[in-house]
Amino acid sequence: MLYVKRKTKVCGKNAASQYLGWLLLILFLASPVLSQDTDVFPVPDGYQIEGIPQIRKSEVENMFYDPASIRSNLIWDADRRNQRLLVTDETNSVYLLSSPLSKPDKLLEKIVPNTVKTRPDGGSFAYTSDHEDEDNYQLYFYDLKERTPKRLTTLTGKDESIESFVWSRDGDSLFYSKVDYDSKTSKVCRNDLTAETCYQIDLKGIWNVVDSNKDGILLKHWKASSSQLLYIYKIQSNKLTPVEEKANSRKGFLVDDRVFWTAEGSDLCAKKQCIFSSSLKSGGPKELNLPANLVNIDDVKFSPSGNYLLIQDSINGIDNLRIFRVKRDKVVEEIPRFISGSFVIWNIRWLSDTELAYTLENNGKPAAIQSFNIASKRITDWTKELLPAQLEGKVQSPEVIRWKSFDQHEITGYIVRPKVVVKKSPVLIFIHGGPQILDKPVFNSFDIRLASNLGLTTIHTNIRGSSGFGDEFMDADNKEKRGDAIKDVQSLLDWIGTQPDLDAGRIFIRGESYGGYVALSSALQEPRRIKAVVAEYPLVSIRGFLSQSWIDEFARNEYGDPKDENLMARLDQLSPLNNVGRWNNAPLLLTRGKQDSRNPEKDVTDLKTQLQKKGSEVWYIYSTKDGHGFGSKYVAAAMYIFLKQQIKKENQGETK
Amino acid sequence: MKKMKSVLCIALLSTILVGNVFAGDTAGSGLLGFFDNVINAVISLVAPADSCETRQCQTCRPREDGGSGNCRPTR
Repeated sequence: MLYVKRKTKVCGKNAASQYLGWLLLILFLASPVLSQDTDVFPVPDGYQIEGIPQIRKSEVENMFYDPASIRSNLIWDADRRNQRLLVTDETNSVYLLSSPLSKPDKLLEKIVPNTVKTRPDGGSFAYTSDHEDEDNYQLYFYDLKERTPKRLTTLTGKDESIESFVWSRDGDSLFYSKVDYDSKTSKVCRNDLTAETCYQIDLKGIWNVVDSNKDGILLKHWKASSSQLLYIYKIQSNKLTPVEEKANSRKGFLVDDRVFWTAEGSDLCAKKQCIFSSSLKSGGPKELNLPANLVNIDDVKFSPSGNYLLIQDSINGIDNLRIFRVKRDKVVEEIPRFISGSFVIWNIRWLSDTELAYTLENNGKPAAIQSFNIASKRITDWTKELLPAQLEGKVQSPEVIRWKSFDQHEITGYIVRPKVVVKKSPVLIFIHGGPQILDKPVFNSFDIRLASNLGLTTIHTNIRGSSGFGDEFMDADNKEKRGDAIKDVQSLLDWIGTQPDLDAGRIFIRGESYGGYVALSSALQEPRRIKAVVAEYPLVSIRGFLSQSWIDEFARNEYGDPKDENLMARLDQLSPLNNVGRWNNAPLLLTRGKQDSRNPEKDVTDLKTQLQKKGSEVWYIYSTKDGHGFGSKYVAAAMYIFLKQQIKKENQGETK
Repeated sequence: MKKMKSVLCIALLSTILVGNVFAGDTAGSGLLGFFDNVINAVISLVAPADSCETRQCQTCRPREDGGSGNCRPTR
């Protein structure tokens, strides 16, 4: 009543109404100021930020889009018995796809599956996830009738992880390796879905379970990326036998009583890569006759009856699917190729003896699942991608680029240019982690957004150390050769300088994990040409990295022996840590997760502090809830604003 | 004059009320709601399956709700 009376008086002629009028006027004038607070992009709970200006929502809202406007599905595994698929999407959930173009049925969410494998009868599946404890994977079982996950393993050691598993052929049990990163040993275990039994075999180093048959388990020992050795472990006799002593065997599998493996650097192989098979009983390696034009074998799978052989071959990150008819262990003919265009292909699965399912995507196309029937030559869509309208037609098709490094090694990458370039485009160089992985042109809406909103060209690099170009290239950055990888980036800067549509005066660099180290080191070596750096959860110092307890033989083969003081001192010179005097105040966006157990936190915070003391611009995001590999909308927004500001700054510099 | 004052009064009240509602709602389910339901578009690709140990090269993490990770099933 009082309120109504007052409200009535607001428009009356007495003195109170005049005061109220003034109050209203003040509020009116202040309202734009107040409403500005609502335009603040919130810093997530658990984030501690330094040096980052307030981000306005209105400035970054075009970075994001409605999830319903995109569909990107990929195969996890096939249930051959029931002709259906387990698939994932951009959220990493697990769905059941019962038939082509049916609605995926969500089974699991908020997990971090590394591997998902269907039980042979199709009624359930197993998966590994490190959701509970980062980098320490557990094994789970999911029954499709009960629809609840069940954890099968218990990790009792200081730093254990289950990173590989296979189903037994009858589906009664799971075989897996339990890796202890603290003691640097692995155990081979069997779980019948109720209890675990570990075999009495002493495995030093990091081992994976690759395949199994009725009395043997195929194991892989990770000595180095170019030294992956396969062994057959016979359960009954508790005997371990090498498949081939010398060759680097990235792939291996068992068919009946034969073991098949890919081999590089084998004395038996006259080509770059071969596929051999050998009888588990009598031995005697036999080379599979393959065409000479296979460049980099990514995947090999026989059809269920063994009549067809699928080979996935990759050239500069673009995949080819090739199917061969096989008769008496010999390739007799190739099936005409059925995929046209340049795509990245993931997780191919045989659905029957004449049909296989696969996932296709590329830089401009979200992932979609198809199957191909060899008999009918028919392609069936299982899912259909959806691309938000605001992402359509914003970039030119990705193009593979090549440049010569200081030692004439050819280095490759791919470039994503804006559809329209006004004068010259600023450039963001992206360096992947690893380093033994391959950056492929997958659907990448961040590239598209940077191109369309900032006119920024992104160059994805596969500098030396990357996989996909042979063992020699993968080892070409090892130990004392680390600086050569940085020189690959320096050569890229030269290449950019020769491109008429790229602005060599506005080059920025971004790297994640090991790529963060290369980005930081490149900026240290190139203080004039690299204008700003984004280093996400980076490795900062190799000395610091190698000092961690989990570091194994694989890591030492890549980075060197921490006891080799000469090498460590040399590698120290590549890092901006303790070399800030040489840092030319390039602005740096740095991220770090508290749960990150891959790299020492002290190195990151020391670098940040040293640069801050020097007066460098540092944007720092520290997440107390995340670990290695973290990202978020806030990180994306901060990166966008950071790059936007750097581009603007350099523009102003140019006009001055 | 009286009519003008009434119009002004209505305009002021409307602005303030709408402004308040906007402010309140924005913090609750307006723009923030939009951002809660959008996808973080950072995807970079890793294909670690056969050349590198999981612990060395795997950086697949799911992003926040509705976000995208850099995960690709590779095995």
